Amino acid sequence: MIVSLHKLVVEFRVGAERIQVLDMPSWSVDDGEQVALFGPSGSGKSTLLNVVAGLLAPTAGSVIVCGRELSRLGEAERDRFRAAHVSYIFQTFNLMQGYTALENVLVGAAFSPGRFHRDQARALLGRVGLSHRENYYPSKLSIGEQQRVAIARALAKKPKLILADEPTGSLDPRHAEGVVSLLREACREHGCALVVVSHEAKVVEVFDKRVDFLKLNRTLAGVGGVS
Amino acid sequence: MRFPTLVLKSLRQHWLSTALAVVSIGLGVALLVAVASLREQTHRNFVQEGLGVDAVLGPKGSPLQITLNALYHLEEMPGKVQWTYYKKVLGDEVVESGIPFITGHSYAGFRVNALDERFFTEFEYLPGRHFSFRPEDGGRGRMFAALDEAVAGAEAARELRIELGQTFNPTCGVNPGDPVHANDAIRFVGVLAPTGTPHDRAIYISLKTFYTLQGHGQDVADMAVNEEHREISGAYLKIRRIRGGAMHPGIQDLKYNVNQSAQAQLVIPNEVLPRLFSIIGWVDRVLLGIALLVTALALLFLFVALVSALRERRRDLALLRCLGATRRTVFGLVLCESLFISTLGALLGLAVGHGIVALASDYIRVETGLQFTSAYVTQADLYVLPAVLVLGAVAGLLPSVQAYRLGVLRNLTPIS
Repeated sequence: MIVSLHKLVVEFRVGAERIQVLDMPSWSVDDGEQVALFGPSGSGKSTLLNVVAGLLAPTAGSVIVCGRELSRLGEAERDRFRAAHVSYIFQTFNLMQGYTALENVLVGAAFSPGRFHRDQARALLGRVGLSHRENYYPSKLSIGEQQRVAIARALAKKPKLILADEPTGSLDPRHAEGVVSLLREACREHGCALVVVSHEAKVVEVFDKRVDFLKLNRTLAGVGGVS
Repeated sequence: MRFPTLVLKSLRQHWLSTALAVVSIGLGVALLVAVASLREQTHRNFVQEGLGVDAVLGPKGSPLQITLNALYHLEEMPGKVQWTYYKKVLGDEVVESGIPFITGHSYAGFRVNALDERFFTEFEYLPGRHFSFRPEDGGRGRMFAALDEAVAGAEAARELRIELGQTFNPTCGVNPGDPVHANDAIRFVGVLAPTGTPHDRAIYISLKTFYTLQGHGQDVADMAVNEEHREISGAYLKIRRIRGGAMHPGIQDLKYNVNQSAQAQLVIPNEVLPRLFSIIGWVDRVLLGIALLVTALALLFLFVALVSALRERRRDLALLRCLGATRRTVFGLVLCESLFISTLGALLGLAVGHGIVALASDYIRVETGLQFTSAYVTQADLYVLPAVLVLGAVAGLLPSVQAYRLGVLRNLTPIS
């Protein structure tokens, strides 16, 4: 099992008030599994990904990713853990603006153990169909191309898990379909698990395992989402 | 991609502010380095080297004026010294030798000094260094022998384009408008090899030539033969040495006795010249202050550049954190940028500072005959790099802490 959550609670403090965002009894993702989480905006999907990525510490509960209990790790240990095992793809602004496409892929493995060479980065760019764009800066790439560079970068560190937060949110349907299928194929080829968060039905329906986040997060039971 | 590459990439991203910060730090450091070098070399030139003269016997007047006139061909001698008194001083047991001279004449802006021909053979312009006419040293011709012959210092010869055999008429005085000895044509028979001292900037004739210049009249002409009436401007004195190479302590008694007399005074340049520095010391303190201010402003500019660059790069730094960079890594990244800019600025400043000294030394050599070198290493050279690095680290500290405290989620993810 690559992800295993148990009695997960995440609360945010707003002044003196504590706002509960997540309350999940249990949830898991198997090795190499591909899962789509769907639900309305503001339902806490991104928060869940942040917890699984180690960017956010849970208020309570257990978060085991790749066999490590993240709730027991300090921030720096979670950073190192993420550097080694987990990649993250965002909806927009995925790329470093002062870096070329090739350099953006190279920086994906900058903090992970092991060596990652330019040739490997070129191969990954080739895999996402952007060999001819390796010296382009993000401002010269279309949004779809930027997302494909982000996929190549996510694969650079050979992660066990890729988290994608609305990866097609800024794309038109035709490009969205292409990016999602590329992401799924690449994950399959590299043997890594994939968790995609989306509120787009066309994106979600291609996944065999689909999770309705409204049912998963007890905080939202009977509410229909928070804003 | 390694950490240094990340630093360089980041600097390239805001290359304009990086370049400006490097240049401004370089400018400040260059000023510091140049001022320190020129200051130390001036001090060395004036005080430590003493131009090979242990003591100057001169007329009553300002000791500084006598020193400047006798050694640097500046100012005017405040009076005359009787030859008989000079001979008396020469007879003192602590005086090893003396070279009498007469100043007060000039040609085309260069002083024309009359002196004993032993000046060219015995006088040491620097410890152990004698004048040379040898072509391999850069000299030409020979020392004067006849009454109508003169020798030029290297710089005077270069500036006036003096050729051997060429004649000139000396001016009776050192100021514009002073009368010219129109009937006294003197021929150049030698050019001294360069010494890198003010002696390069003078023209030399014999004492006898001076006394027998037609324009001086019979009274002065008599001085050539009558020692009782003979006058000189002064004399360079060489004092006997004791063990360890120090001047004979009896010099102080001699100085006291000469200064008590109504005839002359004994000036020890190495005692007088530091006073000159205490008078003009404020100039280099002001220059040093300006240089420090420029460096401080440059470091302030570095701080502002880093802070504004950080504002532009919040998302990039948050992305790096998301890719696995720890807080300490992004802290180190910004701090290393500051240190890199500071190092580059300091190295640029060192190079430019020595370049300024190279340019200035040429100008100073031509104007004063003093020898400066861009290769001179001062204490400032040794301390400037570590000092700028420390100050660069201080300037980069706050931006680095801001980078350390940067919230990843606040700068990256929308809530969904």
